[in-house]
Amino acid sequence: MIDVTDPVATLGTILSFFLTVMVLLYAFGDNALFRLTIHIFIGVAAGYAGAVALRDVLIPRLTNLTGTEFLIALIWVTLLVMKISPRTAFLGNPASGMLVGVGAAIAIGGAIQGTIIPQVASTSNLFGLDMAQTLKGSLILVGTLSTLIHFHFGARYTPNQIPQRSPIVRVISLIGQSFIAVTFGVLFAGIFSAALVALIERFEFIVNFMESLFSLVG
Amino acid sequence: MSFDIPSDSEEDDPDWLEGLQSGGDDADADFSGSSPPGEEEGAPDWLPDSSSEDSRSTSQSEEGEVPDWLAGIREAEESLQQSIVDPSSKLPAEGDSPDWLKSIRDQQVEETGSMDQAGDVPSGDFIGRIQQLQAQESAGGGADETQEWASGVGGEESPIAGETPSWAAGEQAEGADGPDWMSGLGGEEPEPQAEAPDWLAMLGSQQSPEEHPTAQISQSPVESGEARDWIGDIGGDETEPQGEALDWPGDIGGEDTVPQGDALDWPGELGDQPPGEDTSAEMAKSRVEGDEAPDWLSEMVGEEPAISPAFPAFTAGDQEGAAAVVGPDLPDLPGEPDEVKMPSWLDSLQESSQDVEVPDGTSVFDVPVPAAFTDEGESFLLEPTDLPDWLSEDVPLEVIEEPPARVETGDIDIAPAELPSWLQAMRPVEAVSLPVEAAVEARPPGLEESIGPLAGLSNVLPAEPDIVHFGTPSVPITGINITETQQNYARLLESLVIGEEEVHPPRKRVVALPQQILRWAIAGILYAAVFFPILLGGQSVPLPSTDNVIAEIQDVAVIIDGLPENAPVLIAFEYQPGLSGEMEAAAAAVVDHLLNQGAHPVVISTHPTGPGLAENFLQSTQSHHLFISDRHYVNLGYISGGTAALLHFAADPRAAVPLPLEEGGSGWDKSPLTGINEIRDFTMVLVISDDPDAARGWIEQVGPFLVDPSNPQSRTPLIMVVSAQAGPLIYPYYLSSPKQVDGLVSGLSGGAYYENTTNRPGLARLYWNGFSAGLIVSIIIIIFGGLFNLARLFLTSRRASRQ
Repeated sequence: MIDVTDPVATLGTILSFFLTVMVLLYAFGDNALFRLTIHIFIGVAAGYAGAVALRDVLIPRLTNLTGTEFLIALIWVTLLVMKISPRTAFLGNPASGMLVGVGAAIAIGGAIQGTIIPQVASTSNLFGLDMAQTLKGSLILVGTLSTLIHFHFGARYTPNQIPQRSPIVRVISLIGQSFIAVTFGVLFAGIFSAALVALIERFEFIVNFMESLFSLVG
Repeated sequence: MSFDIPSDSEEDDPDWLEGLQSGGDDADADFSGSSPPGEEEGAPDWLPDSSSEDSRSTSQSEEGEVPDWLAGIREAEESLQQSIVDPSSKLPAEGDSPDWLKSIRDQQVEETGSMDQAGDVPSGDFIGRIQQLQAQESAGGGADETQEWASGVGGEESPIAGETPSWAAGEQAEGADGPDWMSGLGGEEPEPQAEAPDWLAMLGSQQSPEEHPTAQISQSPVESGEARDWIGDIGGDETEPQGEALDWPGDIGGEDTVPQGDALDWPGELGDQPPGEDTSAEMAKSRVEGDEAPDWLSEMVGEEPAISPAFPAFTAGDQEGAAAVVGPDLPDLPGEPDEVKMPSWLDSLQESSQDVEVPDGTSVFDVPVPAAFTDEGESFLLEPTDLPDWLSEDVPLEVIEEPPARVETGDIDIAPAELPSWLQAMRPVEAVSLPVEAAVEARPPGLEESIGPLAGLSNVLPAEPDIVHFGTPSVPITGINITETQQNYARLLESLVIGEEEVHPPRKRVVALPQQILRWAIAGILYAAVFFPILLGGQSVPLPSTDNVIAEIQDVAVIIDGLPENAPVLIAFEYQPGLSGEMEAAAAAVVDHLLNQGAHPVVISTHPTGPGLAENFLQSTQSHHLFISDRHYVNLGYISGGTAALLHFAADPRAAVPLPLEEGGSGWDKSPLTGINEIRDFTMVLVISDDPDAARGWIEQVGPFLVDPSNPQSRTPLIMVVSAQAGPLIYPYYLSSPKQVDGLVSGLSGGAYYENTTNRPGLARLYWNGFSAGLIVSIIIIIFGGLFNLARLFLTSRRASRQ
């Protein structure tokens, strides 16, 4: 953990120890040490991402492009840089539009081809296999439909009254709401589990650091 | 005075005219002055009966229960009504002439010896007789007589009211007030001139003597100069223009009470006819009918006196009085032959009448007057026992007020209508604020429309100025009906707007001490539960048993076990540094298994921090492998663009990641990337992700490129090691058929299970004690917290119930 022969690594380990302790102090309330640690983390992460982008994206791309490719890329990059100033921001709209449009099209196409169609097909395949699979498929179907209906916000207008859903929609929405609650519970358990593991990992680091420190001292 | 009256042939005259003529033959002198005395103030003695006598003879046999004279009046009324409805109905065919008319004619011939010539003349040719009179007048003979009857006619305009008999006065009064038939007669709406036959209008067109003084009588025909007036001139009262309506009903009830030209005149002519006309007809009828005639009529006939040749209907006194009234100023009867324009049909009649010889010496106006119409006869006829109450009463003669004159249409001043209150309440508010009249009058002439579809046009009518209100009303509209819900919405919106404008100073979060203490207690317990197992070390909590088969994890182990040696394996590090502890613990055993199988890992990431985390993971967890420590693995680095970058990399890995080398060439040409041209050239793809979206991006974008197009059954396996929070969302892709994810390791528990299954120690085993203690403590805290809240709720409700 602490290697005297590697001062940079030792310094890094010491900083990590203090930063970890500073974060854990949040359990006793919001404090300046916690905020300082958060600021350091955000700054280091941004700097690291920029460095990675420069090293892994810009330099290899710009150095390996031909004349025409470089010119096209330079035009798009220049237009996108125009977003810096409000006066020239409109010049970057085409580049932004292309990025957003292409990203949306890819995401939607992938969702349809990679998620919706396969999932619908696989769910429909559950029916008719056996009773257990049929019940499983029915549960999935009911959960999916009721959840979708729960997010249907159409309501009937009545004068001088608050618009309300029809009774049938309210019942189905209640079923969908129960499915959503179960889903959120599972997700919360996963998040808690992940956070708990992270805490354990930090405690493990602290224990190892302390053992290294005590071994070094002692 | 002369008449230019065309004679008529017998064939062309209608029967009723024949009847009239037969009567008129007896009293032509009266016929010319058709307004009998007493029309204004008092009806003459003969007037009521003259109208009733005609019908009495025809109806008395049918209406025995009704007094004869009243039945006669009814009969006359009915005939009048029929004539109003259809004047042509009063024109029976010659052969259909009523018997009484025929009897009248016969009687005339018999009784009036001077009617020999008239008897030769066709029965309906009274016009021819008039011409004969003209000829006699022009010859000088009979001029005095004519003047006498004419003066009598003129005297009709100023009858002596005091001489009006009581019955006549009563009838007149009734005509003003009461009897329906009389009111109907007097109140008949004037027939349009166009609808009335000309001959009918000419016969009946008379005017009230009040409205047309006698001084104008002689002028009007000359002024008008129309041939149609000739017959009106016979009546002597014709001064009204031809356009005026007819007056006949008024003549029955009293000519003075009928507005000028308000009704047809021809039936009135029946009443206007000289008494001798009707009385002679009645007497003739009586003779014909013999025993069927009533007694009074028989007596009347028997007492039939010698009729005065000049004024048969009047007594001598009446005639003198009439003459005195009119005096020498009585104008000549109109009818200048040169000035009269005859209609065509009258011309033909005139021509035909010229061929008829008029009996010599006898004036057509010499009609015997029955004694019944004299003072003596009157007293005889009207016995008090025979009179009905309304007639027996001594009703004073009243001068009926003349109805208001007709208002000229050109000067009509229509009063504005008054809207009822309920209709006013329905008017729009704009109508109240700006009246229609004011809006119209407020528009100056020539004003151009400035707004609306008629913009640019001038002198246009305002299109509903108070409804199509383009501008704001001059009077503010108050009292808008707003429901309570709308008011609530308005208040809510107002509060939101005001709240946005307010600047709230940042408040320091203040946590209650018990809550802060509770937070500290929970944190301390959890930290202790996690820290002490790690501090103590060991494996106090067993790893997940392999007896419980977790298919998705075992599939990962099976796939890795099936990898060939030196197989290029693409490993994507798609997690954040914050969750590196979990992901490293979950993936360490899997990567170790790969390295043990001799796979050559190729690292890539769509996160900027991914390559660094990959290096840290491999060096910290897999450094015991020489392949890693010697850095023989390939780190493709970071590919920017998210899902688009994934798609690009899946479609063309070499283009997506150039991998330039310092010494020249491309990294793709070096081991282990040699032979990698497509994504499915990798032996396996392992995705380590804590983000379900990132993991789904790999499934959606890269998954389809893992299938061999030539052999769909051949597919490069896609294995995922995901965080516990992403496991439930990725798990359906493993359950799908065909599988989109071939193996799945989720969270620390999955890593621990994989370590236990593959029997390789790793971070999961190290963390498992603390993880288990932390979960147990967390469950205890959650249960305790739930019970505490339930107890507090119970206590609160109990306290509320006590209060």
